[in-house]
Amino acid sequence: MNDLNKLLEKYWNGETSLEEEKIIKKHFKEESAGKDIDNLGALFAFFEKEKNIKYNGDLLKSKPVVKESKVIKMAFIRKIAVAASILLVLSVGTYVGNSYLTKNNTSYAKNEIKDPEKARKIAEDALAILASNYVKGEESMTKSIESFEKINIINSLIKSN
Amino acid sequence: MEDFLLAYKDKFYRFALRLTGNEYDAEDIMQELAIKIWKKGEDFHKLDNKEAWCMSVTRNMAIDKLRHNKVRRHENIETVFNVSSDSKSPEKQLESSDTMGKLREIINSLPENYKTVIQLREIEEMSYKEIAKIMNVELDKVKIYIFRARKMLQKMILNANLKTLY
Repeated sequence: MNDLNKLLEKYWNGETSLEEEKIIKKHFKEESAGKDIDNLGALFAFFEKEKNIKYNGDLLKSKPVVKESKVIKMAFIRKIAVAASILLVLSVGTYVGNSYLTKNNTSYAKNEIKDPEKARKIAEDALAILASNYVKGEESMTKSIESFEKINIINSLIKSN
Repeated sequence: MEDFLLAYKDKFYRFALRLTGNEYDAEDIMQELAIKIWKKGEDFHKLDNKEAWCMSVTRNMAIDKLRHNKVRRHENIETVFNVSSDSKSPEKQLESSDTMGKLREIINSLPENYKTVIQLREIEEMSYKEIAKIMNVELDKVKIYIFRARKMLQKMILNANLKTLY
């Protein structure tokens, strides 16, 4: 009885092995019929009876063909949908691209300068603007490099001190 | 595949029935489980532990059913579990079924995690390691669930008026 109490204490604390649990259940089944302890005998008997529940339904004996074919059909439809989307994007892209190019070609033709002297003058002005901007950019870059060098010198002085 | 299902169907059904509390959902789960196994095809045979995989799938489906169908859970609880009784006097049989009903109600009222561990440990006699795999939790977590589930059960059955079933 003392051993049983110890085992029961272990059982309630979730520390028993499967073997020890079998010993407890066997004890209640064989020796404690009619003199239950804290309703434990009823509980263990309940567990024992629950093991007898059987499944009497019909499980699928063969591969579920209908459901499988639905899956295949859905996969096929999905592939067709993807292909149709790609085709649509390509068609719209080609159409928009062609219209854009046609429109731009027309505007080039409209702005064409026929007088060679006038064309040379416009080209010279454009190059002058480009050269001026280049010089400005170069000056700004030189200033930045100088500032960076100054910072480096200050940093090295701080480190040496 | 058929052999596997034939060997384990009762265990999967008991588990589904315990978690959902009604035979309609448990039957649904059994059919869906069979379909899942078929769909898995050759990959099913490559599984390390087919039983644990099926138990895990069963549990997930039962949890889904519970979420979507809370009302039906306690419906016809007495007629659902139809276990054949042995040769006892009518009076004794009545007492037994009453006790069985009370104990079922007690266990079904436990939180899902506790119901799961009680079913797997006390009825299916699984090791903590197997339970951990099915529940997809650490071993220590299973020990905690078992401890708490038993403590809760102990308190609940202590004051219940139960007759011995043996």
